[in-house]
Amino acid sequence: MRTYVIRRIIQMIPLLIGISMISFFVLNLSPGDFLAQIEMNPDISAAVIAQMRAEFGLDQPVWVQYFNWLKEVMQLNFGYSFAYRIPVTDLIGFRIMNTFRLSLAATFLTWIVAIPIGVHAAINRYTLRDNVLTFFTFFGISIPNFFFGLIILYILARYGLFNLPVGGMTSWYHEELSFMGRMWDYIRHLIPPTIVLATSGMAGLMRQMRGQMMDAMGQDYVRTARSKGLSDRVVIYKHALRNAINPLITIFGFSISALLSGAAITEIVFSYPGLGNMLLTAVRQKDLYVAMAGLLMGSVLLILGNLLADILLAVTDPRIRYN
Amino acid sequence: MQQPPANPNMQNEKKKIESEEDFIRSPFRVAWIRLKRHRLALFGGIVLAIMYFSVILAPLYAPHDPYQQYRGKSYHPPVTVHVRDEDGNWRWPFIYNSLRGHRYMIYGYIEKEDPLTGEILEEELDLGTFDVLDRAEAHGAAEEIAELEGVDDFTYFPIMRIWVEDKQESPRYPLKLFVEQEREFSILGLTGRTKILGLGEPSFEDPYPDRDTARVFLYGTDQFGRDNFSRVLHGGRVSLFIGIVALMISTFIGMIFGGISGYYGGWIDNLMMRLAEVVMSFPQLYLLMALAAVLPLDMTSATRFFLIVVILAFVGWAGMARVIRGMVLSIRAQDFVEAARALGGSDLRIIVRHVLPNTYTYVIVAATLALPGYILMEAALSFLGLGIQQPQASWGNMLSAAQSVRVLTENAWLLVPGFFIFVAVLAFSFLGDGIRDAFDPKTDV
Repeated sequence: MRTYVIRRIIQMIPLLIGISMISFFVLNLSPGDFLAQIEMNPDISAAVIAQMRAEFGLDQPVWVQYFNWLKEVMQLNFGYSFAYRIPVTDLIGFRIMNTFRLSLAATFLTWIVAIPIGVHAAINRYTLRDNVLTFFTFFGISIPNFFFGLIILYILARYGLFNLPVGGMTSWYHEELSFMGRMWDYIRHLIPPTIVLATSGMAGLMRQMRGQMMDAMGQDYVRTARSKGLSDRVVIYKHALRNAINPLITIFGFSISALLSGAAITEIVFSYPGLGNMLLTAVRQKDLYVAMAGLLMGSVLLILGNLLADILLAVTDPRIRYN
Repeated sequence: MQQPPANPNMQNEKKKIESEEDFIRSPFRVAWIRLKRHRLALFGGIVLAIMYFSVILAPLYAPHDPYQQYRGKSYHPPVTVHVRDEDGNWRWPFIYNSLRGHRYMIYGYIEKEDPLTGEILEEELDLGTFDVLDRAEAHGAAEEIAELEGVDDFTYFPIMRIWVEDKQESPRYPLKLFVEQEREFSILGLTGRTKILGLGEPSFEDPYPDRDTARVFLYGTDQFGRDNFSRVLHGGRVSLFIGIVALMISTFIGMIFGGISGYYGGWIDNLMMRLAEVVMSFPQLYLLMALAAVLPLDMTSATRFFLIVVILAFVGWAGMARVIRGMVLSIRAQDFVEAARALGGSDLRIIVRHVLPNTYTYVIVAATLALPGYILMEAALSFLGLGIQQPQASWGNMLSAAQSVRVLTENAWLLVPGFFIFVAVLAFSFLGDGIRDAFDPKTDV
């Protein structure tokens, strides 16, 4: 197991280099750099701009810039933000944590709602209740994240539901609050985006859970358990559910990309300071190193999530062994 | 006269053949028959047919030019269509003209004596809002409310500008079907002047000659006074077709890439799959944002449309390529591939003519299921302002007008395009589900 994890982590290195190369060249495809916007300003002389360009290394060919960047990244220096004039590392740590927190909360909510409902739908299959739930899953899959986010924003702003905040991560009076008050302030701001982000994943997961559970309920071991005279509860939760839940972990691995993409757009709708929100601003301003770090960190989250899913799969299913 | 059958076995024979014909229907025919039994899928298909039909004929249905700005009618709410006039007479459906008004918020104060200290305390009461046409009328209206509520003092302040339906003085503008208009439009090369919906002559002359004439805004207008209904129809052309074109390109790339990779195997396979893996290791939206931000803003809308298609295809091909490659790996070991090779078929010919056709059913199912994803990607991209640019409409970029909380709460009708994205994606999900079941021999339909 340990060798497997180590091997997977080593395999990440060429992958990350590939990712960084594609990102760097894509971001450099566009005509004009960050300084092109400053050039419009007549107050700044051409000499200053040339000096700045040399300082940032933007006058060199792309591949030289790439290798310079790579060399710095090896020493965990992600460069400077042109727009904020601070090291990218200072900017990005906080954002990664925010995106991570939002994704984690949404995943938690997704699983805690989708699994019981999926099981419930499978047990009561083809009844009215199952059909209603199926309809709602399609609803959840089909509603665009940002549209749902806007609807939630509208409801919150218009009707002030539960006094929940409209976007952002903290209230303006955050600093004046006690420690517990501050925690609660964070949580309050996290609730609307979490609900929006969780809804899209919930529907798919519930559908899968229902299918897996229906498969499991038809297996021989369930019939055996029943004929032993075990109660329905034990048969469903101890025998069928445990077997049905494994494939969901694989699905969890597949869904991380969608989760991060969804998180990005949810952050933007709720002006929540996460990685996706930062990346959008950075690519718009051509803030090269911030955009690079954003793309890279998004991919790292995705790859680590996949690795985690594979490990979880081995932990929960004794039939799977990695060598 | 009916001829008795010469041989009673003949009929039996005929029946048998018929059933055999039933039996040897092509997989596509079988799938079609099974699909027709899937009610939700059929429903989705019909909804989609209506949507595509409407957006193709957009200029015919849309009462206005999607780019026409009625500056005097900015943020106009959807018009109310009446069938009874103020006197209660039934009329042909008509609308009233509207007036620009102001909405005020009013607070009242009640003075109370504190029973303990004898101090005079003021209690504030939220008395809600009221609307007036002219700012000069505001004080009178506020006084009236204050009197009604029995408060001692009050304050009021304007919160937003609104549109008020002018039922008193405006003439009735009847809706009219098949309206001739001056400008010619063309649909797929056919030109015409007649729009399905428009307004007829007003019942009398408008008493305010300087205000803009009434117009049919079924879904209201945006900031620039452009008709949302017409923009939804025209924007639907972009939103509904961009996904299909991108899907076709990415499916094509995916098949070729997966086919070559799986067929040759070895280091070619290894290299190609690593490349696919790199593309798949980006969270989709992150890669989309980075790629779309590269596009310069000064290009024609056709070029931009095409480049967005390319970007969507670039982000989406890898998943398809991987699955096709897996299928090709097992197909290439089969005898007919060996036979084709022995007969001297070139590699390309074998891949395209013999190997890939065996993946078609999978490709059709996967493509239908992937289509909603492409529609959502375009919508998200345009919503972020990186996709289709104004003034051209797409459902995503129309929604971006609702991004500010203030604008959104005051003009809820701006959310309408999102509803259409939702319906289109829902219908495609139903259809995709049905197609998957129809091609899957294991399910009973």
